[in-house]
Amino acid sequence: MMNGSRSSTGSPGSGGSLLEVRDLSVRFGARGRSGEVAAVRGVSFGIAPGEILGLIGESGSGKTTVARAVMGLVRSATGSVRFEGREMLGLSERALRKVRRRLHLVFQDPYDSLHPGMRVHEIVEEAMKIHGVGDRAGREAAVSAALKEVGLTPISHFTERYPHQLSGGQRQRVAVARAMVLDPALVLADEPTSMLDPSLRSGILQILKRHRDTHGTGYLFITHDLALARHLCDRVAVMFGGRLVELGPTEAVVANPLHPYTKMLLQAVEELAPPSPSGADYLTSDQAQESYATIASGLQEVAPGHYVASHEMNQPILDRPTTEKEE
Amino acid sequence: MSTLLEVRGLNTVYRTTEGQIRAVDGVDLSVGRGEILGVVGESGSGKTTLVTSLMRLIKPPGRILKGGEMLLDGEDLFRLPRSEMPARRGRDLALIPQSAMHALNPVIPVDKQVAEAITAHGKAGRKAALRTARERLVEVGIPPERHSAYPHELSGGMRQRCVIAMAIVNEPKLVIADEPVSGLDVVVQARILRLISDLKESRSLSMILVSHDLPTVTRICDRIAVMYAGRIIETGEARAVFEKPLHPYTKVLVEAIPQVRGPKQDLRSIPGDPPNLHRLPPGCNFEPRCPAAFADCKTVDPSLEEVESGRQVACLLYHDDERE
Repeated sequence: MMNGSRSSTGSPGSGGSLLEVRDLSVRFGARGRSGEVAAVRGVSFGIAPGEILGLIGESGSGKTTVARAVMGLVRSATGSVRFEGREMLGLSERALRKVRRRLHLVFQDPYDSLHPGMRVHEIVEEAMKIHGVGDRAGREAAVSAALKEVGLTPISHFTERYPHQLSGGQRQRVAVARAMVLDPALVLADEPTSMLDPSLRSGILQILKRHRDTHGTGYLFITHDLALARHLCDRVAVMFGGRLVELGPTEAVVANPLHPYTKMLLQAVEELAPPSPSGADYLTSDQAQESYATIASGLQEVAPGHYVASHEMNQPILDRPTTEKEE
Repeated sequence: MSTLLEVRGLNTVYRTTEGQIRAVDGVDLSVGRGEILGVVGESGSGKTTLVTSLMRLIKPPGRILKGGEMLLDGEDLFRLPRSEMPARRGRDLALIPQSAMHALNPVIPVDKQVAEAITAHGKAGRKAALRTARERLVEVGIPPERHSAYPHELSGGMRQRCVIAMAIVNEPKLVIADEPVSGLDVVVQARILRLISDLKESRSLSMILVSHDLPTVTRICDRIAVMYAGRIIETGEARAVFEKPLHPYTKVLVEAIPQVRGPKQDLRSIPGDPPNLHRLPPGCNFEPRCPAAFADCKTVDPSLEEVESGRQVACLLYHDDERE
């Protein structure tokens, strides 16, 4: 209903001098043929330097595709992704490689993302070699500093090890060190803690936060966990069915969710939380996910910086107790 | 509530190139009829070995040490000949495994798979079994039009429902669920836990529910046992354990998980790594990572002791007599 807001000033894409994503769409499959999937539809948001933006959504919501498109890894992406003022979509592989020095990914699974045949110091050093950064001594110093920053100390205890000799938490620390070593302006972290045990998870989050505070790095933090986002992110963007349905300061979204899908997510999180004395109770209604699938993509600003996609406020609740949608 | 399951002195060891490790170390536990016992622990705590031991599915180089007991309805399943176990699995005690995708056969429609679980015990003919299977699928929330779907055609949540249907189809005395909701989206997690909670009410299901996420299982469990390095280090009424954790490790498990409501607190984390079972410290296993450790913790290995009614904890902080 407010399609125009995306291109006007004060749109969700503005304020992101580090990263500005406008009207990003990604389609997979043969164009126009059956089986074509619109994985991302008209997504706009921005990230300021030193800001942590949480991209929230469930499996299949398109959040990982957004991150891949920002990295320039999705050829079929349309719209605009400006990183430090430079358009990323349509860049040649060579030009992308240069840009990627300033932007790094941390993957979900530390068991898959580290080369099993490389030692820790080689893994962390590799990106510097690729980008021709520093001499041997300089690189060694940078590796040591990065390992120290992620708490893999004493460093000598870890540098010569292979990934299989490390625990899951230690592996993810290596992956974070690898992302930090080139001092990127933006880190894209795709559920970096979801495979870790709770007692180790918060350690990784603290490292990311401290790195942001000391280096002013911006983060796109992808997660399905609103509670986690609440503890880490300055703002959150909620995705559903390839669209952004709500975007705003984290506390505002959590305290006052506006879109029915955000409300449903929060209800689920509250249902999973242990009973509080005040007693947040079981979900009383099953909101059918399908009912939001056709909403328009325009975001409307309802409070300063708090945007919500247009939707029917009093949508009928479909009576389907088993509404997990087929993937 | 009468006792359904009583496990005493369970020890499971694995032989490795570095020597023998004790993955489950002298575990005692009990489950009452119609009760859900939550077993909570992180990687390496021994919870999956515990589950596998209770199902008697431990294979070499692992083995269950002699001397332990597993009384289900008064009968010691550890004394049964191994050849008797396949008939008992599914009927006496059923497993809901960790990964529903891997637990289901990819080339058989789900209703047929659930029916197979019935015919495998020779309890019914094929037609009757299929009818019962479909009734159970409806009961767990799979609409009839999805019954003949193949596993890959279903969402993660639906697959999990199918595995639950398979577990309850022979009306076992005890269901053991190993991380039934990990890896699922939060909305689906909430629904699956609600389904388990509903089944507990409607069928007075008795269950052991294994999880790494203490806050999430608090609501549906009656009691919780926390495992660390193969041992139960704290046990008590679920809500009491969550609201007033005693063991320093249990405190970390409670405070490490972010909550969406209430004051925004710094998340707890603990230094160090999960315990290495090859090199356990001489004193308390948690001592190297424990924020509350004192001198005695390095030398005294605390046993699990009752500190208040229904609450046991293995920590010197609460053991007056072991303290110097």
